[in-house]
Amino acid sequence: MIFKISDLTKRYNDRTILDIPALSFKNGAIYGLQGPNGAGKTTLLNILALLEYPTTGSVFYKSKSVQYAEPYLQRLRKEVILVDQLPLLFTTTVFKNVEFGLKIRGIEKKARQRRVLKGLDMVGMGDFARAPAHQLSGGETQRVALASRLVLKPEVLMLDEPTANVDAASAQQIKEAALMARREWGTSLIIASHDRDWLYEVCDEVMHLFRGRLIGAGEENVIFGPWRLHKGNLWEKRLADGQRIRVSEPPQPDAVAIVDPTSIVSASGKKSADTGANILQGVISRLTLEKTSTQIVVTILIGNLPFTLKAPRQQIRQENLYPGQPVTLHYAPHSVTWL
Amino acid sequence: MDLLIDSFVSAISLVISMDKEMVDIVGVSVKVSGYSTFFASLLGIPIGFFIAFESFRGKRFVITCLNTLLAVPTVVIGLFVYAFISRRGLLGFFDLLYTQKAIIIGQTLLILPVVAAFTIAAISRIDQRYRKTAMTLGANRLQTAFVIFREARYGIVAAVIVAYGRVISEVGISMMLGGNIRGFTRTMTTAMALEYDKGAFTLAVALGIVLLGLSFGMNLLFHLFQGRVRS
Repeated sequence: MIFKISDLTKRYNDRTILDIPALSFKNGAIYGLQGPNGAGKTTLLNILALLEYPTTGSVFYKSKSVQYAEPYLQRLRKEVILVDQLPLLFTTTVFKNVEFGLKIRGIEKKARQRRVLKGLDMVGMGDFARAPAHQLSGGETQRVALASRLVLKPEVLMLDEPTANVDAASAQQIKEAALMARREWGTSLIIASHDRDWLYEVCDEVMHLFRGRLIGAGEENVIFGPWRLHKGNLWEKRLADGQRIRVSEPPQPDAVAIVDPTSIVSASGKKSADTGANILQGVISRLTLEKTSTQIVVTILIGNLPFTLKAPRQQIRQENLYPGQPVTLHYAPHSVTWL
Repeated sequence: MDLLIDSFVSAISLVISMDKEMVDIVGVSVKVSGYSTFFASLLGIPIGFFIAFESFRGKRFVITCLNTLLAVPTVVIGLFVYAFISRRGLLGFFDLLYTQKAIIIGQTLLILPVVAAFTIAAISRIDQRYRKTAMTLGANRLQTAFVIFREARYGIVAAVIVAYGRVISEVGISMMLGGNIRGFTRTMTTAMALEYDKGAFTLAVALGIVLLGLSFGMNLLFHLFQGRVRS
């Protein structure tokens, strides 16, 4: 394991930002972090990059507990590197920006030059070596920031929303360069991104963070309250198109419901015989291949709420599911978990 | 009105002819102000940098004190330093009173808070992500501090320029600690005060023109660097 987390919490002014009982990252693997804004992705990356301290709990790097003393952290930071969501470049040339980390590591001048130029080539910025860094566009800045990390051949490279603020061409180059680092040097990658398709395409494991907690592997359906009592112990939420989602009794009326995609029993057009189940009509908006399980992640729009479920490839083929097709899905109200 | 016009015309001819007495006075002013700005920068930049860069208890209080010191009148500093360097003072045996060194000491104390406060402002304006970037790239505390310093360089140069502008135009310290001795401790401002007392305006106006020119140059430089900070 390259990283292991146990009983980690991070609090700011009595507000818990992160609460992760246990989590581990394998060496050389690619991990995706998914979750809405404010879920704690950036805080988790900052803690793993040893730029922030956890409030409680432990972080283990290469099986050794991380000691939060500066000289020790400085040594580890030479192996574990983060690219910020909105990276800044120093007000000097592109070349000197990429050279900075190499200089700190005492690499001699000729080797530095060679590695800087190679790094810039990896992100398609080879022609910009002498350009002033502050004249670059957002996408170019992101690419140079990535190059300045790649040239250091890190053990772990963390990318915080690397493609969120860049054009399509830059995003493609960033994605390719990050994967090249893994291929060439076995760098472990931890990527926080809203780009679901990319995460499922490249990651060995995708994690879903919500309000500072890990709620699963990324496809979980998060349904916000408020919930209203329907009858008995069944509660419901009315969607924009008039359909109702029914759930078991929530802990409080505005609780957040999590519906595991594996608990959704069918995505076919046929209706279920189980009258206790939710029956919801929707339209398939997307099919995505999950790299590790080779299952298909089906995204269905119900009203304006995206619902995901997993289905084997045979089912997709047999039922001839495709984006745009209307479907009915069912799940038992008691299969909901609460946050 | 005629007096002013006549004085102004004569003063212009003094400036153009580079009158020796005027040049000497300007030389003393530029020299003592240069030294005091140098020493104040030597002390004030690291002090300001430390206060802005580090987190410690009472940081806000220290900044408030520094900002208060910005408004200290020159005569108060003159009195304070006089108490130390006069013959009966603690440092009286150095025999510093009515020397250029005495002016430099007083002026250094005057602008030390200016340099420190403006350095704090310059460092505080630097985006925190620069520190984070340096740290994640493996920089130690000193290397990180150097990165922040480099990013704030234009703001810090602006702090030095402001301090020089403040010191070259002060009169209280130069008069009280320098004594306005001709050819030795007579600065532009003390000479102007003396000429005014004598009722001879020509040299006073000529020095005023030079002083205004210098101040204008300083301000021009300041805005140039401020512009670099903003860009």
